[in-house]
Amino acid sequence: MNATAVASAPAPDPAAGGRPAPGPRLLIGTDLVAVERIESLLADRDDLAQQLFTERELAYCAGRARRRADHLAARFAAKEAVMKALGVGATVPWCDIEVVNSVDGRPGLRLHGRAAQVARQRGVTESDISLSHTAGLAMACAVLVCAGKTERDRTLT
Amino acid sequence: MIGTALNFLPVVRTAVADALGIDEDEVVPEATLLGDLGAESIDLLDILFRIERAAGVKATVADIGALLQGGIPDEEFGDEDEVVSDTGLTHLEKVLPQFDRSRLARPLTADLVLGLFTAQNLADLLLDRSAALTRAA
Repeated sequence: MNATAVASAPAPDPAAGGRPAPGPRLLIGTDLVAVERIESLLADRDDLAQQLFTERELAYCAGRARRRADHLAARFAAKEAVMKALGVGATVPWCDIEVVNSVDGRPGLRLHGRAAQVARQRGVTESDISLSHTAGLAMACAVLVCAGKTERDRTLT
Repeated sequence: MIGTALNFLPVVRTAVADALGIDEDEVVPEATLLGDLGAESIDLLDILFRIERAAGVKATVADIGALLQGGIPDEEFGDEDEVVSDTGLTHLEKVLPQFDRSRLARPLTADLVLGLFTAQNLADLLLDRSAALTRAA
């Protein structure tokens, strides 16, 4: 072990019985979808878009008319990626996970309702999302940082 | 049609086969959608919309989740390692007639619960939704 590694080791935590305080824990999720699949699902089902995407997401993608399906598919992948990172599936409504873009276009995550509740249970303090689309495929990678202060995290460290 | 017990299994079999591009014969009642038939969550969306269009009964993926968890709070449904609790297992035995905890090879974790859902379970859920719609009408 080199000196840097020793220096970066967590300090003992009196609250954890003198064991090293658990550091942050990362949850990662990734997803890849065929744009055409999303496009055809949305094609003749008016209310599906509202079930999958928030008004803000739909407005953002509508503003990119030529690539609307790519952007929607990337957001769908983002929601799937976040569900994977959180370790949840069907019990989280799609609109509880929202991709919002900053002024410079960088995407970020906003969690609502049950997704926000699960994130709190997992101790999530920060999140980031990265989206990409090319050649008819859209993908997303979600990273969630957990404070790592739960009993479960202690037993894992 | 209204008021009679409908069998949604044929509708389910057609929708699942069309959405997954498999033969209807493969969609046997006891086949699990995610496990045996390889459906992904996007396929579930597709399946449910095909059913809605064919049979006029609307169900969402969240309805399946709600059925499986039965309104039991997360912390009661599973322990801190996400292993489904006695309360959760009892509920699953109630809503999934084929589920038998004594046949579990290892503790059931929450992420595997959706994988227990079969074509027959979906047909039962649709029957339930359709009966609720009839009652509400």
